[in-house]
Amino acid sequence: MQSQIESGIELLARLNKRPSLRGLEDILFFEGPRSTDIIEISGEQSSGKTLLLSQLLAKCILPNYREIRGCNASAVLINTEHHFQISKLIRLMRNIINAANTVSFTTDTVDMEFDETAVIKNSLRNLLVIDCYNSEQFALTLRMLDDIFVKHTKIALLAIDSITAHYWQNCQDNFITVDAYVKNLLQLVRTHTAQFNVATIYTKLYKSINNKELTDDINYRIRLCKTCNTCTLKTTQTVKKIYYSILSNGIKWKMDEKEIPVKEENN
Amino acid sequence: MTKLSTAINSKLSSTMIEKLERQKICTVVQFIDEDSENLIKFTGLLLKDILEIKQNIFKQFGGVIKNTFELLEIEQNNIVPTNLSSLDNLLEGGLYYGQIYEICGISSSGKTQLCFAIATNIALSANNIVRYIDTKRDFCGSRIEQILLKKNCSKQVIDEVMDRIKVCCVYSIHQLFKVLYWLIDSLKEEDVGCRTRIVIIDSLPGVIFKSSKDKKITITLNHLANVCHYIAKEYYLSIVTVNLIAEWSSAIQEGPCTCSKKNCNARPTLGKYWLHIPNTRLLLEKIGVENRKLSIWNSFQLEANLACTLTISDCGILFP
Repeated sequence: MQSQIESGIELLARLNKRPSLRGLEDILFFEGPRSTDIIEISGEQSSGKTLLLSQLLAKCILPNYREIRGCNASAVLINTEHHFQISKLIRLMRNIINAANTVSFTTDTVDMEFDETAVIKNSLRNLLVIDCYNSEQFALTLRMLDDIFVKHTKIALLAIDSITAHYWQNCQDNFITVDAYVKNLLQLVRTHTAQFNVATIYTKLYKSINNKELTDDINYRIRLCKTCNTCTLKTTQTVKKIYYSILSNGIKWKMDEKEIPVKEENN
Repeated sequence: MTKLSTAINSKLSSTMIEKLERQKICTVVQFIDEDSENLIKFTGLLLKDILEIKQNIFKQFGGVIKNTFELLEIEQNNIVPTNLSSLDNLLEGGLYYGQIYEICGISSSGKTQLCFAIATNIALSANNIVRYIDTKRDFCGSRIEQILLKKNCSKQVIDEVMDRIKVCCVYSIHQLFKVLYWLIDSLKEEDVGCRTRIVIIDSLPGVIFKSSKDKKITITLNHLANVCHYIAKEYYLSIVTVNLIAEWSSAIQEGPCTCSKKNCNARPTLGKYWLHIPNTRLLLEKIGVENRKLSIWNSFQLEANLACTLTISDCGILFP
């Protein structure tokens, strides 16, 4: 909010300081996501949107320590849906650490187990949560982001679960379509994140009526479908279909993925 | 939307607000969105003051930043066991704060009985208050007394437990909102040693009728969800709602069959919007006269389709 005077060098330093999100989820993001990407996760209820988001947050806040390969970045979650739960996040983090442990050849397991809780607790300091209970609070919170990003230079990811939670409250005064509502909010998000090099992930419950309209703004569109167990990933270049299943310890990808060129999809 | 008022900051006078309104800056969001240079022109305040007012707006109406490291401790300290062992196992220890649990089932599947059992068990602890919002006018004090008598509780204990279950009848959705807002005020006054741990709303379809895609009802449900989440999160308690099931197929008449098959045809009432609002939805099904099956229908926190059986008798709910 405050107008600041800073030299170009200071500016560069500030912009470059944020950790990279490379390796956040190699199956979904090829060498990414990049620092200003916008990622959409959509799907019906209980298709695993919040779970996937939590899984990405877990990877984001974990350290790059031994085989864990977290991003060691901070994140801020705007919680409008209130489905996110810390105990679940911890389970996902534990799962990532355990998977890393089986890969590495360390023998001193006692030492690792002692570390695990400490590593998780320390990583939790990387995650800020802002609960929003109405559309005005949500609107103001989005406008507060500048201050938050300036204050917390380690934040590399903004998560919104979900962007459509207050859609109906907004409809009370004037009716707009879900697509237009989301588009307006994304524009607002973009103005607050782009200059700070912060990537955005948001979940969305509703299906877009017009799929083409938003493609320019959104770098990755992830659509989860529970009945067919497929995750459709659209970028500007490709469309990928990946099978997934929801297990107690998170989303598991099945690797026999099919890659379809973008042209075939637009029939 | 909150209008600008002098309560936001003493420097913002009512004449300034009038001037701003003439420029079509009426709400706090509009004030934030307006360029500070313009605001200086409209109000005659200094830049320093404008920025201060903007910060005040964020503080009063914006979201509160919390650290998950601290939230973890709050979560761990606010798990309320129902002391119904199978249910607690199902819920991984009990009811978590900030969560909305929904008990679904057809009529006379034992939803209210389960609520009574949960309410009684939680109120047995001297530190816990239970708020019971009854929309069907069928809260039954003598039933609670009966359950407690079977537990061999003394007269004094029974009186105390009954005293800690605060019942409130509502007959319309407006009254439900009134009660919830009143509850927010009284929760603020509560003593840390003895406070509300659970709010039971039995049942939602009692005051909300939803069959069509009526937008008005969706907006009402959106509002209800927001209020419930606010109460549950900010006052460290959990909310249990009761809901009915619609769209049963012929499969049910053919007697007990596999749960997953039936689930395809069954849906909670209150429409599509409400489907994703409760954090955990439990399904209560009749098996014979006395036996019931309780399963996790869907949940973010818990694994779906885990189940346990229970019986309903004059002792209340029993888990064999």
